[in-house]
Amino acid sequence: MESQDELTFSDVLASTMHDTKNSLGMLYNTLEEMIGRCQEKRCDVQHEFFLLQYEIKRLNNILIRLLTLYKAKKNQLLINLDLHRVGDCLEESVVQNAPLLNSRGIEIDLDCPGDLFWVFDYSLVLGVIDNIMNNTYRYTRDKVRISAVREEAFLVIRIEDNGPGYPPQLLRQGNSTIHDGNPVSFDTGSTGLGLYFSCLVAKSHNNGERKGYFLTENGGSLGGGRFSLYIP
Amino acid sequence: MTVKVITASKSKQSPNLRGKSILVIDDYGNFRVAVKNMLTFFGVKAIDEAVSGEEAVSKMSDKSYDLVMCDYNLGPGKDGQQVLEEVKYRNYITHSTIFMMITADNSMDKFMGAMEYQPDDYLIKPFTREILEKKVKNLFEKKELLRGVEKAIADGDYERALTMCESEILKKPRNLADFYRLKGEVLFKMGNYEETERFYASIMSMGKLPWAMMGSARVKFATERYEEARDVLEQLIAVNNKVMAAYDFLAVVLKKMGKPLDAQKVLMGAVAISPKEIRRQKELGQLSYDNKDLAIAEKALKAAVRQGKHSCFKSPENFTILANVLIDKGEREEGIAVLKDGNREFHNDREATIQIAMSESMVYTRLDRRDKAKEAIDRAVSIARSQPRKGSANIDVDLAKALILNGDAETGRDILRRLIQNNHEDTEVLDQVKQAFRNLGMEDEGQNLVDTAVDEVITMNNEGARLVREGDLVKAIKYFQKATEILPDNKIINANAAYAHILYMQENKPDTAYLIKVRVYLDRVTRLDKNYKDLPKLRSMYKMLMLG
Repeated sequence: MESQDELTFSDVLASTMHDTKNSLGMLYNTLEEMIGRCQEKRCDVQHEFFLLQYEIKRLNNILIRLLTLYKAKKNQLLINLDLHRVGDCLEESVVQNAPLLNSRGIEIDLDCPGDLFWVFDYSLVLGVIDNIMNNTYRYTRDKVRISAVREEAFLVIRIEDNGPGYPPQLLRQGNSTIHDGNPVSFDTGSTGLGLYFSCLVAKSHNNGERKGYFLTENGGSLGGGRFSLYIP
Repeated sequence: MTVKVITASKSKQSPNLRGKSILVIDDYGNFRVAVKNMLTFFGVKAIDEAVSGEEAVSKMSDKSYDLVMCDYNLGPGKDGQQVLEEVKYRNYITHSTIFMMITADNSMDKFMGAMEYQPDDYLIKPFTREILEKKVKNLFEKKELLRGVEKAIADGDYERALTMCESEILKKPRNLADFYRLKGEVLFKMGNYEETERFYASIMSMGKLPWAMMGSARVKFATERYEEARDVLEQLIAVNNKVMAAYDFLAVVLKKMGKPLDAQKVLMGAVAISPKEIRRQKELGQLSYDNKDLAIAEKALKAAVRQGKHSCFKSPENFTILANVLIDKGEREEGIAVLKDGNREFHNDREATIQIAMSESMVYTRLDRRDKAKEAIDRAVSIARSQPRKGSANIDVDLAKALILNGDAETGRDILRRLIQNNHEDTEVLDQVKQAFRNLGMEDEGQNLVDTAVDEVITMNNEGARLVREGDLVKAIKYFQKATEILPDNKIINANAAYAHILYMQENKPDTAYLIKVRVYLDRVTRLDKNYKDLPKLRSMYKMLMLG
């Protein structure tokens, strides 16, 4: 244990996380094996297995976000900048989410120049992308497109789908700042915590005068929702 | 490049993982099984497991692994970071081994301690087979690319390292950042400070990268621009207050600026964030003791003592300084008890027990208990004579000086003769001895002692080397066994003894008793000089024999 004799809440939280995630990990990996066997035998509950896996993944993302947000509230959101190949981060998220999305027949399109490098916090940005990708499972019809380009002084990572798009209360276009304040809106059923997290991560990336931000729009190249993360 | 991913990648085989040897460390059995299943799926055959940090360290000392997957949280005993530090510190793994730290959340990678003790990558639980495969493949690819540059740096061939970095940077490989980072380090090592600084400035124009800011601070420090170095480090901590290496360096800078109180404050801030780094606790203890802040010194040193139990960085000074702190506070009995604890904690460590005995003697002298003081110094001499040296030569020199000053010149000279013979090629040690005599006003006597003692050893080593050269390995083994008994701390004699035994076993067959001897010799060489030039070669020959 740490040197402080008394257990702080963050110790309790961290150790509970550790146990919970161990269990989630076991559930996840066991399910993965079951799905593997299921695919060989072509059994009919395969789809339900994927649903279970999706929920576990969601739980896990929620836990990570919870801890990150808790720490951010206590302190600043810590960021560990380094120079990364953008494609690596996008590919990792695709590898992570492809089995699930493919199980529903969703096609993933990845478009990113191989020599695009940028300075950002890998695990935080991956967390944002992962979260949005995971959501598309519920909202898109049958396509997801993830792409990255350099637009002037910003790196832009976009995730687009061909679903019904964002509801009006979650749209964030141009300079609106709806997610800066109270992120939780219980009457709409969606807590928007995922977007609040995105907002924190975007804002924690700044380079001199330029600050990171994100946009949620409808339309885009696939006609559904379009999430764009701007990193200076 | 456009990649179209339509279905999940079902890689039934991954040829580049097949022949790899892998160690999986976790105290949670189910997790080890799950990881093993994934690795087996990739075709990996050589998978070892360890349930604790201690077991992991012992496995890595005997066998080379291509990949080590270690959970950070390992229950009681060493944690993942301590395992990493120990195996790197003891050279059980080299830069060709990939060390992956497995954690429960994504906050660990924000902590940045000393550069040389960082894992190659972090893996967050839970992870899928696909993610593991992708990460591991990337890491192997990255290691392969870095191999040449790292070798050039290890060889001290900085020109070649620099050329290699520059040509890789043009190719924009996946791990471009690594080549930039290494380029900065190489430029710094070449002493080309102006260019190094320009280089870091160009990197920092892309963003506030911690390693570039650290590098920039290092250049400013080396060129004695302490205030600028301080400003950069303070900025870095403002961006990410978990870059622990920045606090440690900032404390060094502030001390250099003659601001030990500020340095103490910085380290206090650092231990509040990351209390487990015992070298920092020790530094804080020493610094605040010098600053006469006994309360902070006591707290830091007690933490260092408590956490040292599982760490390769535990140190007797934590006990000796703590004892002095307590006695200064008027807590005599507790101070003496701390020294006794230290003695127990280090009962197998020659230098530590000598140091503690000397410190005990001084403490008793301070308390005016002459008989107890004499008893303690006698114990120090007896340990110095009966056990082989493992650590710093300072202790022996200090002990000899204390003896000569207190009228026991014969014992003092004897301890120094032994020290010289065990280190006859180490000019630093020889200079230390000569310096000690010079300080005592006995320069000629010192020179004389060094010359005769060195001659004796050279004759002895040449005889053994001749036997090996002539192929009389049976005789050579006998000869070196005897030589290592006379000079158990001579790294060259120990390395040659190991070499003779290895050659013998290569020509005949591995032999358990000889393997144990080789292990002892090599551990001695490691302890005496972990950068000894032939050590990696000897270790790999030894590991080959262990497999056969």
